[in-house]
Amino acid sequence: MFLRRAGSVTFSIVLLLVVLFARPNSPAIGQESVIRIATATLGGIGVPRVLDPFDQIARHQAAMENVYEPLVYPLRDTFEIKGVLAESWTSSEGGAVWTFNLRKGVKLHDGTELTAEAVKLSFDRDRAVGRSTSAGLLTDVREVRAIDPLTVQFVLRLAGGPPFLARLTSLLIASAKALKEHADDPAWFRSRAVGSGPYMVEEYVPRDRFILRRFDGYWGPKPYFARAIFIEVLESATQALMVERGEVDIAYTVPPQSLPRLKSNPNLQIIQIPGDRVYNLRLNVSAGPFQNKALRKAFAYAMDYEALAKARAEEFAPPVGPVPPKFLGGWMPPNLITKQDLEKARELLTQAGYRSGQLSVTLNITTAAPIQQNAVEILQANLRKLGVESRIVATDFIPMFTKLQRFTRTKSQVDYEDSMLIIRGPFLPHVYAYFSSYDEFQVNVFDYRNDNVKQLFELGYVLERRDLERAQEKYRQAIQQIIDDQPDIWFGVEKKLVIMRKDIKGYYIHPTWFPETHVFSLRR
Amino acid sequence: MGRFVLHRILLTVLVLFGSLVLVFVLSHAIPSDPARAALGEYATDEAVAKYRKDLGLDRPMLVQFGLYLSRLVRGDFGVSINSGQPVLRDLFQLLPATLELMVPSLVLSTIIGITLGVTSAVNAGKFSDHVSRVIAVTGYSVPVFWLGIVLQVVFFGWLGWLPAARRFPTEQLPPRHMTGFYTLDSLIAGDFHAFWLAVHHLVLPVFTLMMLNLAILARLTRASMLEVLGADYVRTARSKGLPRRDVIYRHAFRNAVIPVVTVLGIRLGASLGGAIITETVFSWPGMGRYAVQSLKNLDYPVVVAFTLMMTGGYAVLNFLVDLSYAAIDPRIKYV
Repeated sequence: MFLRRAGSVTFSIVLLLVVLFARPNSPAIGQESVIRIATATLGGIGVPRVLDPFDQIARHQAAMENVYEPLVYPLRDTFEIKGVLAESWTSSEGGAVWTFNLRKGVKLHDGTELTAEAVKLSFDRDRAVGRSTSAGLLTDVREVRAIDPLTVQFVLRLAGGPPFLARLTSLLIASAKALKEHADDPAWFRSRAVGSGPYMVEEYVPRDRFILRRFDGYWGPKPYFARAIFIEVLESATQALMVERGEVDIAYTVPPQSLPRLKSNPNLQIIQIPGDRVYNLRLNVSAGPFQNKALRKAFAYAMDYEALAKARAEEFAPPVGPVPPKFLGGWMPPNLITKQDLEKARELLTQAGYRSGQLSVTLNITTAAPIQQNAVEILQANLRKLGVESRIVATDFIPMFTKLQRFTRTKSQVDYEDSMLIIRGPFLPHVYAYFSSYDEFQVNVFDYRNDNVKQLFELGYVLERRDLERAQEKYRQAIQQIIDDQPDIWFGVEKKLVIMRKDIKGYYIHPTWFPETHVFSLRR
Repeated sequence: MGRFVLHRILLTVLVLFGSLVLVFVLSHAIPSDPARAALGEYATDEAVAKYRKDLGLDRPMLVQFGLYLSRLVRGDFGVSINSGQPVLRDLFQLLPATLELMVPSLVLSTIIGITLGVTSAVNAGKFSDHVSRVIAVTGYSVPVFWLGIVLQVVFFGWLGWLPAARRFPTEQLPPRHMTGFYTLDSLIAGDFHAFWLAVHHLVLPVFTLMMLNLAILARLTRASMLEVLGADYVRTARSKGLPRRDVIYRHAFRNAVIPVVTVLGIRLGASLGGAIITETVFSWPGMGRYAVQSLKNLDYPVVVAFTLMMTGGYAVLNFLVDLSYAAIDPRIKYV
């Protein structure tokens, strides 16, 4: 009796499963073209954590650029800046004053028109909130003036410094009407978006989905896709499966071990290029043993670069120095250490005054970062051959970065560290800020200083507007000088990876930004 | 009975307070800066300092704890550092998704697990016993995240029968929010197609979440039943000529089920932990995934509130389990 009952329960369960496996037919979604993009907020681009363009951390800004637009934006694969909401611009007073002529007739999503006031109010709010990438990059702007409805002026505290236009690309412009009406309600912009971009926000569910609909009043070319659906898929293996099955059109995060399988799939296209995010172990040049240049060089020679590139072949490319060659006309710095030479390392170690067993250092990395872990483990193993002990410490990036910024300012022994592995973008403002004494940006960890480097960068920047070739020559000289000083060990560059369905066209990986999700440039 | 209930309530309050102190101290002892983490590396120092002040992080930890406690007794769990929304609102918005996953998995794992355990014990050494033991051992030893991924590969990747992730198809609007349970909302709205889609999205995550509980309950029921089936009173019942069904259910099963109910109570709490992993693997927008993201983003208010809810849920469930003993076994009296 009991067995019969157990049998019928099992049969019912099996029947239920069979019924469930009969996949329901999804109703047709109509004729409109839709693109679906899987993102993972943790560790990369993704569904924005809030919609506020002035409360936007860098990795989420790429998706928001479909909704909001900047005044200017960098052209593909170069540092050249093109106008977006600004039609033209001039600079005066040695680069301390920038005047922009705005595009006429630009409609925003609330039906209002773009004005100089919108730019001023956007900047003011960005400064007041103080949380966005642009707020951090535009700290030297003294004020923004609306000269007339279509002319706006940025006044800087001082001329020079990192290229202003390049920094301005991160400032997104919102509707003046919305900014005025909701000036006292900081939460309003968190869940609503009023930009001028080719897409409007149709639905936004934090940590889940971000759905965009084409904005019919857009001033520029009409985008191909009527809707774009960003969904959050945290598990990389799931993203790989979804793009394979055509459940999504684009996936950004897939497990490296699944790449051979994905590459052999004829329905997929894989963009995998040696990218631009440089992995460098920054050495403490302002205190402790690494003040000694010979020791820094010894560490650079101790590293086995080939072993690292081989171990992480799908994700990592060999070292190219502080700036990838494509940004300097294909130029590769001749004095860069790219091969291991333990004999030379030993020689330099002796020259620095250290015998075997006399030196012990700490190598700081970020938690849950397998490439970083691999890199310092290889370095550690080779340092051991030289009789140098090293300890690997993995910490969250933000607390460690905050600590090192504090050390850079105060030189307090409490915050002292020997080194820190930092991943840095190649965008000139980053490079400049990272290697210059211009400390307003506070990313020059350990305060590496060389006046020659600073002058060469600034000269290059001034020349860039007149003579690009001579400007690049100055940048090259600056890079050579940096390499000679060896404030970092350059491990290599991260490969950028995007997996797409074969029929998606028009995608490009922007050289200076996180993997972009500019839906307006895509078509099927 | 009244004294017992009062005693247990007081103990539960103590447990909650202890866990609150522990989580609060631990989360604030992490050598990190949640304000900097929330605002990103490019945020200005002034903005970070202001945000830190707004969050009260510039004050001594004891003062922070006192303020938190005074807000907590008024039902205010604070504001999420990352979303800027009240934590309780965030958690309650996500609760239906988590419950929609947990409830069917617990119900199914209990029914199937106990049925398998009883079948196995009654047919000890036979084919059905071997089959149920294999199922139990497999469910017990396979990690939840691995099982989830394998199910996705087979049923989504290879066969294409079931969706890999999420609560509803990407391109369709979910049923209108009434309870937050997609299955219930679609039924209330009379939209059977939406109900069908919601159930389809539930199959893999529910199966993944239920397997561990099912295995534990099956093994425990089997062991407990085997012990009871060999007892003198069962032999007496058999020798009296009672029907097999009465012997198994009325005499053996009721006595064997007490340890099973105890473990069931513990597993109900542990299922919340399983839900965290399952929600991450299946991109299920529930409380577990939110907690993981908050932990990564150093969102203290969410982490503390989530832990408190977990502890509270765990304590209440175990309290209910203790109360259920008297209903199952009349010999048990509360003093």
